[in-house]
Amino acid sequence: MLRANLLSTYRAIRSTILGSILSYFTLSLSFSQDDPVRVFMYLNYYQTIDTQYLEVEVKYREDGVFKQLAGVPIDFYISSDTSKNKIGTETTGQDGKVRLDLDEKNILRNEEGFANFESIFPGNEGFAEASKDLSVKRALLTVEGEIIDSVNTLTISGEEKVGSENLNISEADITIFVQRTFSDLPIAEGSFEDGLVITEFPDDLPGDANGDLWIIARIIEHDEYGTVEVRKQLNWAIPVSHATVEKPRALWSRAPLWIIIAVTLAFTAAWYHYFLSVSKLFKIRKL
Amino acid sequence: MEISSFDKLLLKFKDPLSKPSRSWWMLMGSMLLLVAFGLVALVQQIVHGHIVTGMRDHVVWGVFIVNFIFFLGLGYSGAILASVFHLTRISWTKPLHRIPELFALMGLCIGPIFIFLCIGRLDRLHYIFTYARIQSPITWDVMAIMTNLIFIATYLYISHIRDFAKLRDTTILSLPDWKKKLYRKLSLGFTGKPEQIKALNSAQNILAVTIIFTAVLADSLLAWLFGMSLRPGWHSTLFAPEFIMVALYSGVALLIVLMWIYRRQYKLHDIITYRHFQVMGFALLLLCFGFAYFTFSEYITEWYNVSETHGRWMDKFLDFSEFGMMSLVTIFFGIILPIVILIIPRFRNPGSITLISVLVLIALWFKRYLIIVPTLETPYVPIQDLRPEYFNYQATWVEWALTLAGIGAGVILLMLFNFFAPVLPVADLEHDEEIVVPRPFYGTLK
Repeated sequence: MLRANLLSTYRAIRSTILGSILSYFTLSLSFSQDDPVRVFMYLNYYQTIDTQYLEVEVKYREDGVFKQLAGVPIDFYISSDTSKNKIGTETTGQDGKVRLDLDEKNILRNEEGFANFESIFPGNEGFAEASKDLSVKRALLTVEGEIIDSVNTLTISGEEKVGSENLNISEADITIFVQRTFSDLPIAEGSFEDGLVITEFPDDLPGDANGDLWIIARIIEHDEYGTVEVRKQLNWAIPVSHATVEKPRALWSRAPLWIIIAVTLAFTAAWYHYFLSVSKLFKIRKL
Repeated sequence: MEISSFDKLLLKFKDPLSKPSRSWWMLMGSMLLLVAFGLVALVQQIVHGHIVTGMRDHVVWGVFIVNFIFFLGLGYSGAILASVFHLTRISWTKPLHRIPELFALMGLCIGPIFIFLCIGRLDRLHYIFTYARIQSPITWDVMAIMTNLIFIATYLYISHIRDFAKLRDTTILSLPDWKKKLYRKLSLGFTGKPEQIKALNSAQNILAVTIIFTAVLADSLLAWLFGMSLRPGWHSTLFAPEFIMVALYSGVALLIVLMWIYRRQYKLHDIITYRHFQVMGFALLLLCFGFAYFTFSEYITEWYNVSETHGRWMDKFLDFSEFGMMSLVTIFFGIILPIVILIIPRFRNPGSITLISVLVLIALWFKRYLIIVPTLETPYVPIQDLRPEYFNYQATWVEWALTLAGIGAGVILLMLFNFFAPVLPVADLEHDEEIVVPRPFYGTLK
């Protein structure tokens, strides 16, 4: 009796373990064969006074590392409460990014001034479908420079468009940059109050030969405005001439005459005596 | 049949001239193993890049450049010693003439290999010539090294012609036919006619004078490569004479070590005598004082330099967690111990003088290390995000393996020289009945 019970318990455990192992392998196999790779999509909206565009970046994960998904089509849509219109299709580049320029005339906005955009990757054999949407308003920035009590002061004004009205931006952070050779250098940060940000600006930054430099005011990836930017050139920098200056002792300049003469004389004298010595060796066999 | 004293002398070099002994082959095999070990390290460096060495962005030079300076120093000093021995015509120095000639060529062959190992992009090596700038000290150095290498190789050959003629004509050594043929070619038909002797002497005299000039110039150029930069520890007007001084010091030390080895190996006790060691020991002592003077002068002037960077650099030599121990060993082995051993008559014998010479060689290798690494570990301009791994140098096994391979290759070269010609200028010693070495003045002090 006891033996029969033990045997039935053993069989139950065995079938459970074997069943689990079998189902694990079956599931793994089916996932690895059929499931396309998940795609991660990022949609951003950029605007200045003159331009507006959407930018999409698509990535996927392989061996725990994110990689850019290049060469796939992305469809762009604009939608309202009643309609959804395709506004373009672009293919991602090697960096996995794609950009679609927008024309304000073709953008439908609702009563609150929002435009609804959507980007869709339809998917293919290897990668799963992905989409992203956002609602953004039109915002405009202006920047003015003024010297107040010998202090360089920047005044940035921000307005959003709602219907035909322009309203002051009230809840947004802004960062001030100056354009440098390889990237933009952050200088100051502030928040809008009644559509204005007033901040001091340093007077010791190097600029071009005339003392000009480009100032950039930027709201970065705001929930309602996306990224908004304005640029202005001001004469607030220390003039720095980048013209090539002749450095007489640098390696890349011309060698001074005395060095050419000294080196030539030294090595010529040495090699003259060397050949004089060797010439005597040739005589030995004949003597 | 009674054999002449000259033939007796020649017979001392039967091994390896006629047939290398088993010990010769064993030593050669060991050295080849060292070179093979170095080749394994070299493959690692070529495949993985310089990341396998201790060199990084800031310490861009390490043990390789130390070896480069060390071997070139031996080469230049050997060249100067050989030329001075020849030109001064001091008869008792005759047995020593060949040794500095040999290690001069060895140093100039091995040294430049280490500079190639420092170069990350060897495929751009030809840029040295295609983009050469006559005002660049690097261009001067490349020209000087190549010039000296060719001059020394030629000088070594000229000084061997009389010996090649003797080896061509000898019957006492059973030399293989190919060697006889080689000696026939290399001896240029020299038979000892007065006109031939005159021409040969003239060729050797001219080249000896030229070599002194080019060797001094080349070692100075090597020093100026560092001295012309503004970095603490390098920007010094003393550097060129100091480099020559240190090179001569290491050259005399190596000469003594090789004298001791060859004296034992070929049983040359009656030719390389106790007096030779005394006189060369005296030369070593004089050079030791010179080295002490230059070392003191170098550090005392830097000590009074008040710049922050110089202060940081100087502190490294006093800090035992950095270069304090190495500095102490350099001073102890390179200055204090040689003075004590060489001044006190009781300690002065061939064995102790040789031992001191070995310690001097170690100290002078350390000295070159102290010239290079602490300076590179002391950034001259403020640097952001300065992490220890960026500027702390620690040589890796790859660098040590290639260093050992360099030493192995140097020994192989010396053994090959000895395989083809005697280590003494036998033709010059043929008519010397007895070599009388003067007692150095300090040898009379009791």
